[in-house]
Amino acid sequence: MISFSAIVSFLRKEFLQILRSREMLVMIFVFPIVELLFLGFAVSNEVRHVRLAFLDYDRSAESRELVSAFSSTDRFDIVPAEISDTPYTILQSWRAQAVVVIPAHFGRDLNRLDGPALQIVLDGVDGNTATISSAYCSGIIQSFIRKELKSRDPRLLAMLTGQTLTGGVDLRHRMWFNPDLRSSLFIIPGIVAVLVTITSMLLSAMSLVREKEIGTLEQLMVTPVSKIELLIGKLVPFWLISFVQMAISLVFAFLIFGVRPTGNIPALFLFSNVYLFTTLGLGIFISTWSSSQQQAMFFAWFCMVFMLLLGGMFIPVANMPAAIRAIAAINPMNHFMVVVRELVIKGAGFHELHNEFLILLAFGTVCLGGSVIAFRKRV
Amino acid sequence: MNLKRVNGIALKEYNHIIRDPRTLLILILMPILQLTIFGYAMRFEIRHVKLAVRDYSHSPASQDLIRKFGATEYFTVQVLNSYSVTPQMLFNTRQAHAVLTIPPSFAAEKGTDRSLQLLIDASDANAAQLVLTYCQEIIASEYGPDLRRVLDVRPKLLYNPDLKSAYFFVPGLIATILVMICALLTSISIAREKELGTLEQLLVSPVTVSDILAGKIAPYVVLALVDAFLILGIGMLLFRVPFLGSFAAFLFYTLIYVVAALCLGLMVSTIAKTQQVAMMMALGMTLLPTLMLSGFIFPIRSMPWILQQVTYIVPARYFLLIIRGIMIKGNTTLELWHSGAALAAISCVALLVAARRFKLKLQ
Repeated sequence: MISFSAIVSFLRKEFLQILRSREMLVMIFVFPIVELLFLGFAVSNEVRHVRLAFLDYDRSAESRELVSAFSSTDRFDIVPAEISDTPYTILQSWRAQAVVVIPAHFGRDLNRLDGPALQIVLDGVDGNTATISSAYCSGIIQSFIRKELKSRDPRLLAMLTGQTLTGGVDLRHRMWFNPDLRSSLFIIPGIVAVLVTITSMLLSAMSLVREKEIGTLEQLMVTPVSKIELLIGKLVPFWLISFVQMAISLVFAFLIFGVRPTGNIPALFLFSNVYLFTTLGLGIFISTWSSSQQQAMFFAWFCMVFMLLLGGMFIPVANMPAAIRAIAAINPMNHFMVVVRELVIKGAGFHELHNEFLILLAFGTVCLGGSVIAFRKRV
Repeated sequence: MNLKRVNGIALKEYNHIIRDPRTLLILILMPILQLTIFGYAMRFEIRHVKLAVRDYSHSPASQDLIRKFGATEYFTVQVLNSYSVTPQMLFNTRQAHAVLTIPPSFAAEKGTDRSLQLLIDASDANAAQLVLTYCQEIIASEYGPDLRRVLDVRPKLLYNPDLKSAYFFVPGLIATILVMICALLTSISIAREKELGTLEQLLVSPVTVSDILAGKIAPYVVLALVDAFLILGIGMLLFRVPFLGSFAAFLFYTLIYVVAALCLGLMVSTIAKTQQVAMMMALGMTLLPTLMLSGFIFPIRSMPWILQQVTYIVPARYFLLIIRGIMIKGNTTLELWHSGAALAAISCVALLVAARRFKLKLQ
């Protein structure tokens, strides 16, 4: 029923169409590298160079020392403040994201151990930055106090707090898989998963709808090409391109960020292959639903947004409420993301991922099978 | 520019939009669903981290410590009975995110080495850092010196004391969705004329470049504003996001931003010949930078220097500051003029490029 030569000539047409569009080629091959660069460098929840202002009403040696304790880290950039400023005016005019208020007599109270007080006022507009900088501030202030008390009398601290510094319990930690805590190690496998999804789902859907919109589907209808042959001819190029893109991004991930898959690379491609069944199937499904490329694009983009949001790309699924976690469980990208990350970062073996393999296989069978049945070679 | 001709093109474009209910549905539904999911699902703090404990001490002290970990929302504690399970196995099978080892000497006298060992799966560096901080906090509050008695530090959050994530996402989503509709839709709408060959019909009609551009833009401005108000409304009603500033200032700056986004979309459409290419370019030039480089999710000041320079040409960077300022801080028009001027400058440059490249000729 399936004619090999028909598929070959159909494939040739598709490849010519892609290869002769220079912009398309640029998009397919340059886009992954650009995205890798942008995301790899930009995406980090690490907070640095927070603009911090001091309102020093004390102007003592102690308060100056506290300020200098803050200036020695790259987490804070100290910005000047006028004496007429209040924390409110500084934050309102976006001059700083946090203000430390040192009250008058801070130095005196510190020396007398009179329980001096400090206030940190934070800009809550960006809650994440505010929480993290608040934690940084307390850390710096604590070590400042420790140093101050130690320099006066080493026993003072122990006396005051009823405990010694060294006799207490000490926590020794080790970071596995990623001792330098590089964010890029986590985000780059994620980008690979996203790229594979975009190419296979968006581009295949648009390419199928394009024939409808331009009217060349009618020409295809009168040819003896069967539905299956048409789909194979349409999908194989994007299937191949996805693999090429994946290879390109893995190579560049290594060249630029030094991120190298520690796991089994053939396994990575095997999993991607199974995952591509799902995304290509979704691509066909989108194309049957849409009559113009614009519709296809928006529908695909709609799916992408939710796959991304609930796929653990930026925000871990484990943090979400149970109801939303349940929705995330039926998100194929979520499972693929886990697979790529486990394989690239942890060097997991196939047996540790066989659950994901079965899930992805089930998704692939349902999506591809269902959409092939639903696809009609008609106008 | 002739108002009548602009009207004609705008009407045609309006019909395109209104007679494609599926696209319209997605354009209305997407922001609503996105906002709801963002509002409920997005949390940066980490909870229920799977913590495996290897207790070699088996003492009241160690059991007390384990209870302390279990009592917090941060950890779901699992005490390992078998000592043959290695951390590597736990991490690779994803049964644990962190492994705490309590040594046999833990119950010993003070003064001896009572160090705990904590292994963290750091593939997600940010999460690992948070897990470590939580553990350190728990340990410090149990066994560390209480420095609070020496110095009283009072943190205070202005504008968003309860740290609601909606305060953060609603302005960001307005910026993202406006760009998506303005830049993506206009770039595609002109590329479609090229691809379907209807641009030729426009070329032989007595319209000028500025007529076409203005007529193409107008309906999308309206659509974008409708979406912006929709998000704003849901954000205020469902998530109780405040709106402290003046509505006039919001409208004024939103219009400037919309124009900037539209000009970028036009620029893309003058380069792209097919809708596929237009879409990919618009994605790459507008949507991704808006998400990544505007400071919406990732702080600009933490980025490498070179990327920080790139953010200066991302319109959303300025608009985000404006909209957060107006909604949450109650900034006035005057306090935000720097950002408004930057947006206007970007639109001028993009419009100049687009007008120069958009020719009423076939190649």
